Amino acid sequence: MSSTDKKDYGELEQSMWQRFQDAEATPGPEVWSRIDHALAMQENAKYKKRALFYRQLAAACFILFVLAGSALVLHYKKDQKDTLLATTTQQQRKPIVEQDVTGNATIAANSASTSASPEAGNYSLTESANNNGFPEAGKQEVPTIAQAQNQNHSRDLEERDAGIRSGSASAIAQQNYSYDNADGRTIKAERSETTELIAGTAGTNENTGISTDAKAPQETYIPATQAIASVPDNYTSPATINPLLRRNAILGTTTPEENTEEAIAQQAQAGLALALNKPAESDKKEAAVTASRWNVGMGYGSTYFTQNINIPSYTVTPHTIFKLPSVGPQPEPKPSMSVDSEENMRDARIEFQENTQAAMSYNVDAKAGFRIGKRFKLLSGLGYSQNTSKTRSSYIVEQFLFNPRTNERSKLKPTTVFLPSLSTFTTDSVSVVKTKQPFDVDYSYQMLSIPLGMQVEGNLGQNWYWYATGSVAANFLMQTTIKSSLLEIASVTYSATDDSPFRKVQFSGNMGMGIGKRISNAVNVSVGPEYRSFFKSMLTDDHAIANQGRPYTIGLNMGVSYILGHDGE
Amino acid sequence: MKLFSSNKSEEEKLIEGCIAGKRDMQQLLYDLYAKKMMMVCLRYAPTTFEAEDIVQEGFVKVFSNIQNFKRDCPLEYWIRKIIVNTALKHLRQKSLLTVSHESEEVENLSSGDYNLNDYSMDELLSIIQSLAPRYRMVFNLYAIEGYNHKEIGEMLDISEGTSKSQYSRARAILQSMLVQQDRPYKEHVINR
Repeated sequence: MSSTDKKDYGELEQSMWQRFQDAEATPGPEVWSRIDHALAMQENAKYKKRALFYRQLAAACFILFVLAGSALVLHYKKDQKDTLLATTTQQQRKPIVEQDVTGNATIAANSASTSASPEAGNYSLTESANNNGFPEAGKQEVPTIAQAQNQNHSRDLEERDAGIRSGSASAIAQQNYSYDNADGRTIKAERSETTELIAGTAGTNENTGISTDAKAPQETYIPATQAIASVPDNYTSPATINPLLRRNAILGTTTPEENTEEAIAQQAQAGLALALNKPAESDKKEAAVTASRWNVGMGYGSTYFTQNINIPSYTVTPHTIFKLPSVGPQPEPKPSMSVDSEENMRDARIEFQENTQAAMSYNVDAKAGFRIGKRFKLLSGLGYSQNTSKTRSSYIVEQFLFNPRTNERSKLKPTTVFLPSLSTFTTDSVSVVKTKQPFDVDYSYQMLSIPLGMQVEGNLGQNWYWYATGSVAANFLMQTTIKSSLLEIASVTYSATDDSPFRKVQFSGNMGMGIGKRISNAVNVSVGPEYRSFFKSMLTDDHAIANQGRPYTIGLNMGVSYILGHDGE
Repeated sequence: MKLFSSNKSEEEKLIEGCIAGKRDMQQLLYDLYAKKMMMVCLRYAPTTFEAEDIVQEGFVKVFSNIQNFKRDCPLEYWIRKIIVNTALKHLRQKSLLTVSHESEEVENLSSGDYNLNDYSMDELLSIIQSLAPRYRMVFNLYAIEGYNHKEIGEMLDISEGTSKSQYSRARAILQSMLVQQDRPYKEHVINR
């Protein structure tokens, strides 16, 4: 009590004070029950908040688990398929090698006997073809080229010989196809040998004085050679096309007895497909993917933003009766605040901490990517994001300024508890009032971002792929808006050049993963969860009085990308 | 001194228990201070029901904010401060602190001698509760809680001068009521 008041402090006050100082009155027994209930409710609210966090965490983990599981399963299936293919090719390779040896021997015999006895050479070739598991290759197996030849030369006997040669050439061609699958490099040599053989055989026909019609077969052989040469190195083997061959490959080597007519017909069909040069679809796609390194894309992310701003627990010291004697230098003058307002201020701060929640935010970005190797992609571009948080509040802060010249007290526009709590008050007095109805306060941060990151991709199937991306981004705060649903509270907006308590530039780390689909050779779409964490708090170091958390966003990102240099087919 | 240390240690344990959220400790603290705080609330609130509401709200705040107790004053004072603030807030919410209802005439008030010891606690309480809310607040804050007029002005959002004048009126009304209630008693004693 101040000394000026002591004159009023008379007998009545003394007596009253003495009577009431230690007086007691028993509250009803239900009061404690009500307190107990209220405390339980408070704890439940805290528990619910914590439970919500754990639920969200569990949901995020579940999504990640499902995505990772799906990726693993698909990857495992792909590996299994590759292993099966490798086994098939290996099993197929053994008999082919034997054929090759026999074939070479035949070729040698053929070459040796060409000048002396061309007819014998032809028969020998046919026999060798028969020994190689193509019993009717010379006579009955009828590839298209041979058929064409037969049509051209069906009138005389020599034409039949030419047909036999053609059949032999086809058989050799087929051998080379099989071998081609096993080892592409060796095959090229074989191909040339084969070509020479065919040419030699045709030459033999010329030397032996076969009529001019005999030249026709030579022309007929050329497409077959070209077809052989045009077969890509990574061509899918006929064994993978033909299920019977695949089965045989798994069970063991194919014996001549097992080669039924049906199997031969299927193999012939596969050979035909080869001759017509129809590579597998996946090869085409793979070639398309490797064709261009550059791509451009756009993305849209729907996220939840948590600003993680904490209000300091001390802002204004109210006048109380429990003042400690001041020692040392006097503190800076602080605005006066009634105990009631101080109580409200404390409640408002508690309310802010409890009621501030993440709100729906979004980000859009345009990126350019440069493929490094088959799996990695370097990404950079420009992004824009609007990050929003929300508070349900019931308190407004009124600040008053005293003008000594006019001796008037002016009142500033009321605000929420948020902004004044970020800095020391510059006003003379502050009043915090509770409203009848709670109202919403939205905090919106608009940012421009320049990300730089790396993306890794892998195939999940023919058209599907997975991706994982990590990047860092420089984020430039363009505008901050604090808007209240209560009309009497003015909205506050800070532009990029304004002096604001918010950090203008800061960096963030982004992580994302998901799946994508190639809807054409040039266009991909993708979707997946994305997490972005800022490296520092939203507030500048000068204003981060309390312990500040790092803001972060979590959400779903959808993107579309276009591979440059494609026709879009 | 030994007793004081022991009490302080007990109080510290009680505070730690309450900070930890132990319900038995919270109940112990409530049992320790509830009666005194109920009396404080009865001086501010017009009815017992409202006083109990204030006690409930006040103690919930005490338990919610006890980790902020700086130990720079006795715990009882800290709790009392919260209870008083809660009472003021409660009355403000009920718009009982408006001056419009308080145009009580202080002229022609009876004067005379009185002895507070002649009154029971209930009688004193009923006399205080019969004051207009604003007068009751100012009287309680000044005469019993010990705030000065400047502080009261800030707490009630009125000027220091207004606080002084309202206290003077409250005091005069109270004295008049005490004299009026005391007179029949004295007359009864003299007549005997």
